[in-house]
Amino acid sequence: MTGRRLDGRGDWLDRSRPITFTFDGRSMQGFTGDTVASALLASGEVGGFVSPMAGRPRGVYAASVEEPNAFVEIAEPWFESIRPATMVNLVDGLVARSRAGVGVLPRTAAARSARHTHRHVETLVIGAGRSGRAAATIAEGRVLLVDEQAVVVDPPPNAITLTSTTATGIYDDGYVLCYQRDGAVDVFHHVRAARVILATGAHERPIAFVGNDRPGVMLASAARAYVERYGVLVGDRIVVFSADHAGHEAAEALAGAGAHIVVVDPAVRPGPATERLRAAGIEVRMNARVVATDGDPALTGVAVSAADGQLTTLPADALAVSGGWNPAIQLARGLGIGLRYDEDKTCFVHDGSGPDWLTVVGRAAGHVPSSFPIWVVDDGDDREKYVELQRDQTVADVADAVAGGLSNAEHVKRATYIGTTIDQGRTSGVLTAEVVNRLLGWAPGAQGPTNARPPYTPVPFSALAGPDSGPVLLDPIRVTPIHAWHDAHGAVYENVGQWKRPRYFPRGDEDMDAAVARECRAVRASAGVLDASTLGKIDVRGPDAGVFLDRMYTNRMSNLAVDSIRYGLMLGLDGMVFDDGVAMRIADGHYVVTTTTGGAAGVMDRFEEWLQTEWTDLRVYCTSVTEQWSVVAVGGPRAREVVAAAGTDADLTNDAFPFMTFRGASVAGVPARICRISFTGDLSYELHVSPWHAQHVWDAVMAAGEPVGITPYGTEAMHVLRAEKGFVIVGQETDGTQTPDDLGMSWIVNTGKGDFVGKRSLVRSDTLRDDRKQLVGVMTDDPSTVLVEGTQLIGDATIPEPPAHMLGWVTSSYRSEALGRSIALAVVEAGRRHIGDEIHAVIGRETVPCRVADPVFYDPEGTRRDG
Amino acid sequence: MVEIRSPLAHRAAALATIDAVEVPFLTQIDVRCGEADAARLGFPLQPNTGTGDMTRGTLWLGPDEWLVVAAPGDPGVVVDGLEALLMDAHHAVVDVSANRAVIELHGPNRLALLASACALDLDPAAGWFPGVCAQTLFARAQVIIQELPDATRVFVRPSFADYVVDRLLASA
Amino acid sequence: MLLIRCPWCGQRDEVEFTYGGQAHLAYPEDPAALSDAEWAEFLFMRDNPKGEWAERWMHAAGCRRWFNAIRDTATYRMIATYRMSEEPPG
Repeated sequence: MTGRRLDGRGDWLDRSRPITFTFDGRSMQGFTGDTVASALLASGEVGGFVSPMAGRPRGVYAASVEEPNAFVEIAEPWFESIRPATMVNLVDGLVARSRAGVGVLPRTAAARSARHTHRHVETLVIGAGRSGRAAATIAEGRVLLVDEQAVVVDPPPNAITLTSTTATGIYDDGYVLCYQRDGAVDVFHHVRAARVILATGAHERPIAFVGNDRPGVMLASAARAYVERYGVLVGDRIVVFSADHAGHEAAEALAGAGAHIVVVDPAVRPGPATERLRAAGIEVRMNARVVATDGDPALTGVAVSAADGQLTTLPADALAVSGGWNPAIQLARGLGIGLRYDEDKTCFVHDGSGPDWLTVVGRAAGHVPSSFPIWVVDDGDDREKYVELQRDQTVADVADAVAGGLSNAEHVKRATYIGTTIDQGRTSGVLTAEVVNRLLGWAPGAQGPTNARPPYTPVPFSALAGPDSGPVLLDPIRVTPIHAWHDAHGAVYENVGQWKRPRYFPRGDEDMDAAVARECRAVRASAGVLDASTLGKIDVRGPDAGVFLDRMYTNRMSNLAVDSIRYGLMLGLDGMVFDDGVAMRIADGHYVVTTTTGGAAGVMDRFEEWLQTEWTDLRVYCTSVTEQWSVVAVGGPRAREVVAAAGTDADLTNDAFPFMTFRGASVAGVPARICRISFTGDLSYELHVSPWHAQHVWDAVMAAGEPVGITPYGTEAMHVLRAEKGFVIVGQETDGTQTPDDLGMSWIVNTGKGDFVGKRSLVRSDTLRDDRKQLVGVMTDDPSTVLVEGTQLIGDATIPEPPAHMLGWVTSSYRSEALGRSIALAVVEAGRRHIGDEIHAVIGRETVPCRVADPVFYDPEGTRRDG
Repeated sequence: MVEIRSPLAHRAAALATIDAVEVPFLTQIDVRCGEADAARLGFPLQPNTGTGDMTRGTLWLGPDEWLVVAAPGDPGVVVDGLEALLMDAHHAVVDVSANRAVIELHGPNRLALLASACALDLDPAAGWFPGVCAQTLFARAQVIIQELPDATRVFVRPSFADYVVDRLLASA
Repeated sequence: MLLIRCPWCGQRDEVEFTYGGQAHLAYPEDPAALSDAEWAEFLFMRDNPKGEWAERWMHAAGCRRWFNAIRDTATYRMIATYRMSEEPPG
């Protein structure tokens, strides 16, 4: 047994609240304020851990996030797969298990719950050590002080102090993510600070020598911290191997706590710190090095070599090592700050570059003790000198990488995995870079540690996600006002962007094919009703509204008669179809245009872009009214009867109310705009009503249609019905590479009017190629074969050796009830010239024979349109 | 008998648990016009401010766009009134009463609750007090937030309203 | 997460905005008069400097105005924002 608890020491402990916890199945004691590491050390545990790669016995090495050996999984009172034991504070009921560097994801345990919040401050201070507290005290405005440790002594009165809070990353313009652990709850603070002060201190650096990974070897500052914070003395006979002043202070502190101390100092001549130690009766050996350790496996002795080579073995149960200090500026490195090597401190410090809202203070700014330059003790086998404890990598492993031709520390990192660790190279990075420098004959500081990126310490994904995960909150689920009815009637939904649209309404034990077949038959034979509320709608007003729409669409809208509707295509500047919809002329300078569901925001954005950035002289205003209107679409040969039965003051006769016109009227007692538009080719009325009345109108239509067996139908049946008519769906038949002519729609391009968006691109040489892919129908020879959408089409029955030439692909494919067979739409090279020709669909390693057809399969004369 | 339904009628109980209510069927009119006409109509010219109170007011949405909010009733009357005032100017007056649902939050913790998903500086010391409004994001939903005496209103598209309620509940 | 100053709404988080690419590219007066190469130059070719350049942003979640910005593409530092109607500063 070595470590023990001291009476009357331990600033962070609350001895009035003892805690019992379980470690590796054993019941253990500690106090509130203890970490698992400090409690283990207090109980005399020296080892208790193993290294992940070589399974070597290891013990607690550090006192904070730089711990490379002692990792635990927490099983109770919450689950965490792996954390450094130095950062796990004891709580009642804690059950911890040692883990060798790698955690296991839980199968059944719930993730820690996580909240997110936003904070705005004038000053954010990261690190509540002396410098941080001092900076916070004099800071102006709202001040936030965060520290990764659970205890902050003497918090500044003018600041909000958050403990157990790690700044995980500093991003542009003072945006800092702070991860707070509050018992079982994680809180992610999104902090926007006008000024950020980095007071994150420094991490002590080890020295590489034979046997430097033995349990009982630790950082000197850690040994000191255990005394001062937790009242734990890690050994009774402690050798302190220190190249710097802080190590000497640690020796003093340990001696003061009652340990027998021998200081091994590699410096040639004693300095003031040495004199003070000797004056206190502490033995100091100058110009000496630790060359090996003994133990079984825990430390029992330290071999020291004097300058003349004379070897002594000192009995010891702890070896406290300090090779110097590395300012902890990882958080700032992500902002592109530069480093410079400080010879006196033998470390890399911030060179002063970086954004002006960031200040580095204290030890993080390089105010660390001067250090004698020693990184590796030459004596002994390099294969036993560890530089990266968590990857079991030694000086010899680094030498192998360099011998293999690597000279850049970044490459050595990837070859050896040094630094790819939970502690992110805090104890290995600078040391490794110096080993590489030395092997190459470069000066100390020639290259520094590998780059640092957020997060500063590991963060659970559950914390990052916060509440924005799971089926409800991962992304907004958008529904129409009629959604509750769809739910109540068994709708199966399709995701259209963020919207849930009913895809089909199965009855009984129907599968999708059966339900869709029934819905299609019902619409063609009688009447169906579809919730089309998700379509985008934009109100366009002003004296130049017509001129504006003429420039946005391929066809002319300015000559559209009042109360009339016109279908239009919108292209990108590259001439490719971007969206489609209809324009309705409400009055002289007033239109309402529709867009696809997924295109609504994009079309609105581009309207505004052209008006604000290019055509500022046009007097037009656009207003989004997508959710100002709900749309109940009634279609089928009996649609007229249904709308009449629902109650309307509109004259629905064909002559009074022709196709592609609309009427302002009442339906079922509420105001409506009734539009004769059809996406199925059948007689169809779209009832545009207030969303506040949408359910009422839907109910009225369902009741009115009952005598004719009105059938609610979903997007799948809608897709089949429009495909039978050869109507394209933007985003299905198009992928941004189709022109109107490719789709067989050159009739919709009015080249006689002035310039419109995309016009010039329609006469680019590439756009005029005669082998462009064109919209056609594809009929499988076997009428029961339904091709998969995306299926590739080739000319030969046998698949040629690669590269095989693809003629095109299937864009839509269904079974058609109206035709009693399968149909498909496709884009095929020079397709229109090949109507009637054979073509082959590739399915796995086989092909299926098909024929190119006209894309309008059903009612090509449009006789069903007027009912 | 016409049944009229507001977008968050089914979430009344849930909203009550976070000291919030839906304010249904408000008249909302989107007005676009030039600054001179807006000044003439008494619209707020300073960005992200609102005039008026709980029952009637006008919110600045953009340099040429305002939202007139009034008590439930006949939006057509308000539209006609605004049309009359703007008839000689280049303008647009559009009824958007159903285009946004309105959630009203009460209680001393309402801004902290909003801060769970809103990146605005909602500190009164930083300028967030009654008379201020902003268009911004609440998690993944675009919203208008308006600060009133002892209440905060959140205007959101009805299709995003359930999501906003769920997100508020998850952070409460 | 850049902080971008909308000329109307003030400082807002980057996610409230939509990016609009290179600024000050006027739509050609007479596209029909351009050769395919000239039209392709306007349509597809954009500058890509390391350092300060002028670009467009739109405050999509806010006032929905388009505006211009000068930003350093190497450091991401936002140097200035100005309205569509204004001259670039400096």
